[in-house]
Amino acid sequence: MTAHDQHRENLVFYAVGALPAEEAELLKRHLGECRECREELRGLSDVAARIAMAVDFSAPPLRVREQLMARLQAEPFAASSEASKLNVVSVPWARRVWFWVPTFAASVLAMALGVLWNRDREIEIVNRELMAKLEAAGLAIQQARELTNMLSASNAQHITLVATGEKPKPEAKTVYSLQQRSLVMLASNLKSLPAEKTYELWLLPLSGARPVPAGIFKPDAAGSATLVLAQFSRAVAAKGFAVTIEPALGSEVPTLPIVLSGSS
Amino acid sequence: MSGQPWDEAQVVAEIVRGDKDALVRVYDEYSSLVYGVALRVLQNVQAAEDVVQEVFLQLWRNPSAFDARRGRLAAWLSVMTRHKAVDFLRRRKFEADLPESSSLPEPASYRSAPHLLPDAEKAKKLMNRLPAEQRQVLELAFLDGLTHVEIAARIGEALGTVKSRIRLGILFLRKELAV
Repeated sequence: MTAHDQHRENLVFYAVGALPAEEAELLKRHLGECRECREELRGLSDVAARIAMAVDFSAPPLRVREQLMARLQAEPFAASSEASKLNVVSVPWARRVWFWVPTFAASVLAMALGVLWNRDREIEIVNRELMAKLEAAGLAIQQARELTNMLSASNAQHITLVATGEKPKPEAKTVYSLQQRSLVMLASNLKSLPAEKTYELWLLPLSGARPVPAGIFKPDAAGSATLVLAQFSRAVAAKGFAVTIEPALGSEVPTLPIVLSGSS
Repeated sequence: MSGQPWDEAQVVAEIVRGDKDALVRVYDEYSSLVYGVALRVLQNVQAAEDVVQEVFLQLWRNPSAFDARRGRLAAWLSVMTRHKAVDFLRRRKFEADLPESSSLPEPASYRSAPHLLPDAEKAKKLMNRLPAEQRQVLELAFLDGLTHVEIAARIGEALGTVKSRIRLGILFLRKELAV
C-alpha cells in the first residue's frame, strides 16, 4: 500500500473527526499536496455533515442574536474581507444600518452619513489607496503561503549544521511576533514518541504567568518538526519557549520534565 | 422570514460585500441548526451560545471560505460548528460549569428553519436507517469528539471493528445521498 493509499483510507476517519491528532497532522500535510484527496474529502465532509444535521434543532435565546449584532457593530464594515471594506461607503449599506443599531444611535449615524456625503472625493482617493494596499497584501499573503507550505512540506529537508565531529543534539528555534500574533518553530533531532504521546510547545509569558500552550507536534522520521501558527490566539509577550512531552491531545499545563527551553 | 426565495450563493455574496443584513438573514435561517449541533456536542448552554456567535462571526469575517459551487451552506455551517464545539470541548474551558441535562432547552420546531426542513428530515431518516452500532460510532466521533482509538476503548470493541463500522456507516450515507 502506498503512502497515498494509506492517506486516502484515513480520509473517512478524518471527515468524521475520528483520526488521532498525529495521524490527522500527517494527513493534513498530504492534503496540501494532493488534489484528488482534497476532492474526496469535500464529498466525505458533506456526508459527515448529515450526522450533525440529524440532531434536534434548538432556537438559541434572543440574547445570542443581540450579542452577535453588538459584536458585528464593533466590527465596522467588517471585516468580511478587504474587498468588502471598499464597498462599505455605498449608500445601500448606510440605508440598511438602521436595522442594526439601537434607536439611540440614529443621530450618530446621521452625522456619520453627513460626513460620508461630504467626503466623496476623499473616499475615492482612500479607495484607490486601499486597492493598492490590497494588491500588495495579496502578494504578501501569497509569498507567506508559499513559505509556510515549504516549511510544512513533508519532503522539505531539515539539516542541522554542527561543529565537525560533534553529534547533532535535539534543538528547536522559535520566531515569535507579538504584534503579528504569529509563531514559527523549527525543531530537529527530536526522538520519536509513542502514539499516545506528543510534543507540546509552551510560551513562557514575560509577566511570569503560567505557561501558555502554543501547539502540539510530532517529529518526522528524521526527527524534524515544524509548527507554523499564522494567527496565535493569545496576545502574550514572551520571555521564552519550552517543549514538553504530553498526552496525544496535549495538555493545559506542562508536564515535567522540560525537554527543550530557551529565553530571550 | 422574508418569504422570498432562498438563494444561498446570493446571500453569501451579499455578506462578502459587507452586508450585515444578509448575515442576520443567514443567522435567522440557520441559528437553530447551529445551536442544536453546539448543544448536542457541548451539553452546555453558555458554551453553545458562545459557539453560535463564533460560527456566525467567522462567516462574517471570512465568507469566501464557503464555496456555493461545492456544497450547501447548512452542511458547511454544521461542520464548522462541530469543529468549534469539539475544540471547545477538548480545551475543557467550561468543565466546572456543566449544567444538569434537564436545563438544556427543548428542541425547537422546524418552523424556524423552513429551508432546512427537507435536508434535516432526510438526514434524520438516514441516520435512523443506519444499523445501531454504525450510528453509535459515527455519533461518538462526530458529535462527542472521540477518535477511533477512544471509541474502541469506550465501547470495548477492537479498533478494526470501530474503523469498519465508521467506514460502512459513511459509505451507506454517501450512497443514499449519492454525493
